[in-house]
Amino acid sequence: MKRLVTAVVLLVLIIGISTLSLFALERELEEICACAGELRQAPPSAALERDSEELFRLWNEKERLFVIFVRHDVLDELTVLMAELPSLARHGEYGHFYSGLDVILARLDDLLDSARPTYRNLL
Amino acid sequence: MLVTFFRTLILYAVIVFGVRLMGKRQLGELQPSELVVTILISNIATLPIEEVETPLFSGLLPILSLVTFEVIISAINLRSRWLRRLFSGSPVVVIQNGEINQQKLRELRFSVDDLMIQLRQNQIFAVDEVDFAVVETTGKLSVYQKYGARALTPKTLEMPDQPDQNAPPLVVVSDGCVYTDYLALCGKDMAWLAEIAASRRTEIRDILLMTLDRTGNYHMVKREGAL
Repeated sequence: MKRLVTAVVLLVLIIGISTLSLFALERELEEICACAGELRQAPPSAALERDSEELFRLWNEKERLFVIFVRHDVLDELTVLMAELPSLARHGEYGHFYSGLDVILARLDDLLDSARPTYRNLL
Repeated sequence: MLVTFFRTLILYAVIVFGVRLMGKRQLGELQPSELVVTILISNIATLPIEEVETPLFSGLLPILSLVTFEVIISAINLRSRWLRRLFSGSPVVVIQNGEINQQKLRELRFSVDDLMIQLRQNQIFAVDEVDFAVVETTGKLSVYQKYGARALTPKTLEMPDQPDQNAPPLVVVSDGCVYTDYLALCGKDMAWLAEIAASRRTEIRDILLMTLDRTGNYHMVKREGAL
């Protein structure tokens, strides 16, 4: 009986933590996506460097949570992409800057999609 | 490297906890679902150890989930015969009244060689000694021998019962530690133990192993190097 109760409690905890982590991941990823999306829409200007640094700072902050649930090589890839942005904006390489942002947004979308228990992910 | 070390330590602790939660089963006597869980856990556990890129959570979550599923399914199986049959199957009689049921052997994909191996593992080398043989849900063969092939027992020889011989010897001292419960079961106490140790010119802490039965017969093994 003791084993069964422990198992049920553990299962409830697992489901609870998994669900909460999904919501937390979604919330944080959506915040990053929103920031990256705004940056994507912004026209070339001097403010891009400052805004991209802000995006990178935000990413570093959120990454502490993501590292628990997401493969580290995927996070490292995004970190590298985001780290490049301020430098690209500073040197006026807006083509690479915006294409970098597109890649980041696509990766973040992918990350968000893969975290959800959808039909596609389950299969 | 240190990361790998700590991950291994954490996973080891979690797996030991999981196996303890599932309960004790000897390998080779696992039910199909238990075997599946055991194999899965061992495979899943290696992933976060080998690949540092994989979050530790990705290993812990499936392991703990499998353990909890197994415990819950086992508990439900206890109450439902139908579910027990679904998960574990039913024992199958393959030898009945000395005759091999070849149809059942084919259904089980049990070859004659497999049958002979299992019989030999039961210390039976002649099929004609077997009255009944059942393939259990664990895959093991249980055998009931014909009367003439069974080992002689005191009951067969109509010898009187000896209640004192019914209980096995118990380990009362192991590696210097005394099991007082078992000592009491054999009707002895610490004073008796100290007396015996003194008569053998040894300390209790220098006893590697000591067994005792209800009739007071004991066997003592001292530690190497002890006087």
